[in-house]
Amino acid sequence: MIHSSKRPVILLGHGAIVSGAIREVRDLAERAGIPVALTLLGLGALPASHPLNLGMMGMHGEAWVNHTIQEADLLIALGMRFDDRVTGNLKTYAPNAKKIHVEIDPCEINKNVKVDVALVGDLREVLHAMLPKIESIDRSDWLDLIDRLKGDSAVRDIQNLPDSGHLYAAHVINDLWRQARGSNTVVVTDVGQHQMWEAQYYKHEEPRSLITSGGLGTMGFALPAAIGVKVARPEAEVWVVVGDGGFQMTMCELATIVQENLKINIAIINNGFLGMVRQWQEFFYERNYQATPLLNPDFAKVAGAYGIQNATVTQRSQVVPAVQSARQHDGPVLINFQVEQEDTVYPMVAAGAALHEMIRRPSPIVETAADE
Amino acid sequence: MMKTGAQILWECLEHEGVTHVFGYPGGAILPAYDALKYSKIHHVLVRHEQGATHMADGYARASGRVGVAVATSGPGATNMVTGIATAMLDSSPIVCITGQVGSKLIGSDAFQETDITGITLPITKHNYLVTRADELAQTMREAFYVASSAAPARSSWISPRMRNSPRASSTGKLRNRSCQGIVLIFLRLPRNMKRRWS
Repeated sequence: MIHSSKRPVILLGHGAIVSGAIREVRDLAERAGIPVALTLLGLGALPASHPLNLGMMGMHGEAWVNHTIQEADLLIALGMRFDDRVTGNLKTYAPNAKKIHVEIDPCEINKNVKVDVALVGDLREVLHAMLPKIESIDRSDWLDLIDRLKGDSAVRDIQNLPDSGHLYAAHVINDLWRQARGSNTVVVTDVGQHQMWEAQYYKHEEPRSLITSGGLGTMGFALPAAIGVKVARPEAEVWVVVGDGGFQMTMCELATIVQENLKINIAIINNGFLGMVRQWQEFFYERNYQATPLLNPDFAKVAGAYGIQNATVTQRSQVVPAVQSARQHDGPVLINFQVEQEDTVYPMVAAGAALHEMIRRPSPIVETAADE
Repeated sequence: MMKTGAQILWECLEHEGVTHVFGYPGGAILPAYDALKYSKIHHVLVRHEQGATHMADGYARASGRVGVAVATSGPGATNMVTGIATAMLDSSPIVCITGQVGSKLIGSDAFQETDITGITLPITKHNYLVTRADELAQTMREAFYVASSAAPARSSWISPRMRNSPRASSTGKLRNRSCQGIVLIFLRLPRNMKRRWS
C-alpha cells in the first residue's frame, strides 16, 4: 500500500516519543520519501529543520500542512489518535486517502477515523518489522506539489510583516527560540493562544523539548509541570511560556520554585485577555467579549514578592536583552511580555469545519490598510 | 523486623527507582510523612495538590520515568483530579498516592473522606484502595508496572463499575487502555501502625 501510493503523508504523534521510535520514524520517512505532519504532542519527534517535516497539522496547523493531508492518497498515522482538533470535520477528512494506523491502544483503532490497515503494537517494534520491507521511492512530484501548496503562506506570516512598533507574541517566541536553540532547552507551555504560537514559531529539534497539555487542555499546567521537568532534568534550560490567564491559576507554585531553588525562566505572554476564548468570541460570537478581559496584577511585582528576578517588556527591541539577561542569571526569572492585546492565531480551522476550510491571516496589504 | 505500612511505602518507591516525589501533607497521609525521614527520597513541597500532579506529569514527560505525586484524603485527593485527567489524556505515566480515612469510617462521611476511587475511575488506567499493609508492596509493584508499561490492565483488575463509565459508553466498548497511563493508590494508613510485615 505504501509502495503504490503517489501522495502519502505520515501523521506523527506523541507515541513516537513515548516509544522512543525517533530514529525508526526518520528512517521510514527518508527511505520512502514521505513528508511528515506532526500533532502538537508529536512536535520534536522529527527535527523541525528536517526537509520532510511539514510542521504541525490541525486546527492551528499551517495551511499547506492541512491541504497536504486533504490531497493525500495515503495517511500513515503513527502513534496518534485522530483527535478532533487534528481532523476537523470527519466527513470531509482526507476523502481520497487510504489509512494505515499504527497505535498501541486497540481502543483507538476505528474510534474516530475508519482505517484500512490497523497495526496494534509498540511503534518502535512495528517500524522495526516494517523498515526492511520499505523500498526507496522517488516522490519529488508530490513534494513539489506540497511546495506549491505553501503558496503565499510565507508572505502572510507575521514574522514577515514590517516592524510596526507593536510587540507580537509570535516575535517574542521566535526571538526566544533564536536565543535558546541549540542548547538543551525544554519549553513548557500552558493552554491557549501562546501555546499555538509556541508550536508555530518555536522550532523543536529534539523529542521531549516541548511539554504541553494537549488532550485535556489544562490551563495552569505550565508552571507546575516545569518544576517537574527541572527536577527530572536539572541540566536542562527550562522555559515556561504561559498566558496571563493560565499563569494565575497555579502561580502559587512560584513559592515551590523558590523553596526548591530551581532555575526556571518564566515568559508570560500577557495580552490582558483570555486570548483564545476572546478569539472565538471575535470569530463566532460577534466580538461579544464577555468575561474575557482580565484584570491582572503587576506580574513583575508578584515575582519580586517571592524574591524572583523580574522584568517587564513592552517593545520588541527589549525582547532579546531580557531573554539574554534571564539566561545568564543563576536563579529563577520572570519576564512579563506585554504583547498586542487583540492578536489572533492564524490559520484557524473552526470547530467542526473541514480541514481545508481555514480562516487565513489577512494578506499584508489588508493588514497595513487596517493599521492606517 | 517489623515495618509499618508507611516505611514499606517509601521502600517500595525507592525500589522503583523514585528519587523525587511531589506532595502536600494532611491528616490521613501523615503517617507516611512521618516515615519520610528514614527515606532518601526528596520530597518537593507544593502549594496545591493540582500542582503536585502536574509536576509528576512534567517529570514523566521530560524523562520517560514515572512521576509520583502525594496528597492526603478528601480535598487533597480531589484537588488532584485535573492533573490526573491531564496526564491520562496525554498518556503520561504517573502514580498518585493519597491517604484515605480508616476502613471502619469508610462510607460514613468522615472528616476529609471522599470516594476518590469512584471519582477517578474514568480518568485512571487503574486504581487501588489498599487497606492492609501486607498488600502494599505487591500493589506498588503492580501500580508502577501498569503505569509505565503498555500492558493492558488485567481483566480481574477492572471493577464492574468501569463498564458503566462515560468513556466506556462513548466508545461502545470496554475501555481497557493499553498505553502508559495513571495509577492511583489510595492508602489507608492507620495512626497506630502495628501491622506486621515479615
